[in-house]
Amino acid sequence: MGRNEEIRAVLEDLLKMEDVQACLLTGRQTGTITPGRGTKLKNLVLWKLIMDSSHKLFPVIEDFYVYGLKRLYFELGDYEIIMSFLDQFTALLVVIPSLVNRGLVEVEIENSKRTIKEIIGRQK
Amino acid sequence: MKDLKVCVATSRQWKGMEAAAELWSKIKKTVPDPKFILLFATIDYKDEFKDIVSHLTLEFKNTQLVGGTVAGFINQDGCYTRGVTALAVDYPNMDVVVGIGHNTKRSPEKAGSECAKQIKEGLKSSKWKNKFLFTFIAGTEIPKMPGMGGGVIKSGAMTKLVKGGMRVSQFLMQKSVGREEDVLDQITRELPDYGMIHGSTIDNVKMGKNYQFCGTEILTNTVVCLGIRTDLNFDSDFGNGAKSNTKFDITEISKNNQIVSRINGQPAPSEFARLLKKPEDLLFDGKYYLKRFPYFPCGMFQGDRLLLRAFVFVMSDSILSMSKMHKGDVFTVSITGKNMIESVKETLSSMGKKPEFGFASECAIRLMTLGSDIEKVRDNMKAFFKDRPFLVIYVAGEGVKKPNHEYFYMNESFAVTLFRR
Repeated sequence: MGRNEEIRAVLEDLLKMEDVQACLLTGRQTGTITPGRGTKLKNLVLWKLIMDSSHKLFPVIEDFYVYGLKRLYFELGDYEIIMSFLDQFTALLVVIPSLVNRGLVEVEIENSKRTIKEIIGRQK
Repeated sequence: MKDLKVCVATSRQWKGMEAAAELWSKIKKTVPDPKFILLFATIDYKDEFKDIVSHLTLEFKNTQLVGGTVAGFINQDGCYTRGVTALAVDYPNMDVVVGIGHNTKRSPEKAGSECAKQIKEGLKSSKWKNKFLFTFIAGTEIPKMPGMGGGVIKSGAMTKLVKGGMRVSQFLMQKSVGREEDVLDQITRELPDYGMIHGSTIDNVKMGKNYQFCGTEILTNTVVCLGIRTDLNFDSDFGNGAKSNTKFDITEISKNNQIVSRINGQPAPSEFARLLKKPEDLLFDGKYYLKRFPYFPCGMFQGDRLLLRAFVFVMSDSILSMSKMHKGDVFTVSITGKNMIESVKETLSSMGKKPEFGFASECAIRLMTLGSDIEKVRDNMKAFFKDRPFLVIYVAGEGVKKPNHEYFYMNESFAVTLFRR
């Protein structure tokens, strides 16, 4: 299994969680990797916007990363977007409904992030 | 330790058979023939429970198995809010037996009594002097009724309807508060010389449905209990990291000691908001209440120990506590995330030297609050246990008891039992 397939499998696992509506890995080196199943979001225009625009945040992220930036949260209508950084060039982005128990999802975001880091580390 | 074999295994496989096979292969390496297995799974596996328990009980024919659903767990492998975990133990100087009591929400005393009798009977001929119980009881399930979303009801008419509806729902569908203390009152009355650690089963904190496991059975609204007699020693304690602030009096409370109508002689919701120095509208905003309620629990003393209670539901004239309140002095309390983490360290270090293994029940609210920082709780566990096995489960309510002492039942706390030679 290649690197992207391994990462896709991790994202698939994350997407199976009830509260995870969408997830992807975005980064300068990795490009955008999405789960094979795509998304549970009904609004595909929004999903496309998220996929196409998340990398645009990196110039700002890089500036803040040196000060210990770990995560960014966006409230977007009925959803919340969590961007969790593997390094200053790579982020795991997860969309959850607003008002769900974010703490529980964050534990699994952290696990996914670690596994993806390992996969990327192995391939270097 | 000679002859004591303990294994805590984890599986993240999605299919029940595969998860069970992974647990089995890990357990059998260290504990080929366990006396008992405590099995916990997150609610993501609800369609797989049957396969998991069937496979495990088939492979471990002489093993007693109990457990249930949890919001997450921590062990030497990691921190998880999705997965299955098992604690398997074998030790020659130990007799074990399981007890089940049914209909915990409809007839909690009867359920507790049923369960205690099975334990007493099953262990009556054991020669080992130390007696211990692991108890797992169905936690609160919130019925789906109009007006109950968000945890706040502002209309007086709707409050009356919901209060009445909850009584009906409790009796007919057993969807209501967990009534764990009514069950435990009975168990501890009948088995006073047993030590105990308790966890109330829960889903992913949506309080929709939770399950208990016993042998091959997947149960709801039950108490499942593992009774042990052994020459191993055990010690239980708890901590919460809370600081008590303003004292207040509960002046009117329901018969079940959970619906508080008046505080300091005033309507409970407005007086509670005043004590917290927060605007009532902001504090009881229906949109955010279910996310915020963990941050303003109250505390009451049992002896010199501060026990926490969370107000999970607000009605126009009253507030509903997750577990029983005592009439009398109560305090607003404050806890920081840092104190939650520190309380784990403090509780463990106050209990002396490193044990052979440990089991802890911690409130799921703390997991919700700490999120991925729960890793720091694991760091504290690992620093204490070193390479020894431990398991922390995240539950709806937790309790501990020392033999011949009264039990403590808490929310928002960390309860632990350490096992030593």
